[in-house]
Amino acid sequence: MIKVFKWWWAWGYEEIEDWLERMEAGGLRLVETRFSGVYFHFEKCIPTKARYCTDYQTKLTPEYMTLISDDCWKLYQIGAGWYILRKEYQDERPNLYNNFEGLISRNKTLLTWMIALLFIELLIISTMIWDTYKFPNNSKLAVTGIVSSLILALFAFCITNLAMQISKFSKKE
Amino acid sequence: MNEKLNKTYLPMSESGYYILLSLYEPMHGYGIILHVKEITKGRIRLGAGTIYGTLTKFEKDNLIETAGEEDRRKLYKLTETGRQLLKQELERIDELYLNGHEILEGR
Repeated sequence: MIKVFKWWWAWGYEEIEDWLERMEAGGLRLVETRFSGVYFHFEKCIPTKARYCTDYQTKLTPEYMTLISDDCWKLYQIGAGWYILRKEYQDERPNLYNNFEGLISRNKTLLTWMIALLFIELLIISTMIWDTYKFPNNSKLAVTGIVSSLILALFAFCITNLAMQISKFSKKE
Repeated sequence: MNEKLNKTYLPMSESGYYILLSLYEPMHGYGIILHVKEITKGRIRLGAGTIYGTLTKFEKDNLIETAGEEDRRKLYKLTETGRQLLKQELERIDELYLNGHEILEGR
């Protein structure tokens, strides 16, 4: 078993899909993912043409499972609603989504989650700031400021990228 | 016809149009993929993710409804609302077709 660490963002899904496809074409097939899909475990195989697609589903329904199974996709669970699907092919490269509508909808769901989490984070930060103001302590003030800034920067980065991708897909659609 | 539905679905995407058209007769998700591939002579190969998302959305908006099961697969069919929407889209396509032919070939 070969383990590879690879970081990826939700909006950079094509990069991870193409990488997995290249790995299998080079003789390494995905077996499973660990730690929310950043550690990939591969096994050696005969080089095969296989399409990998990422998907996000808030709930895995029997209808979804039946449909992907009928269409010959194998499902790998990543966690937190994320999945990787694999399908072998010969000529035409298959796609899980043949238009941008599904991808826009996926990104909108993620964006809603991010905005909801941001509000929760803002509440936590407000409490931290209030505590620091009420019980002044220079070292705590610095830590609060740095941690808050980093968290807010991360949220801003994610929300901006998701919104930009929705806009890009909407123009293509 | 609900104005909100018209605004959301008209004009229809090619995928949406063919999914609704396929459900003129009860059919399951994978049956739609095969049917659309056949009637478009392989030009359109609907993705399983596209089908699942579209069917979920159509069912929520009452354009389609369940019509029993076949081999443990959920069957769907058009509702009256879905039928009306499809008819409106067909009229729009007819207009495009007639105007196109009249201008390009009629002059």
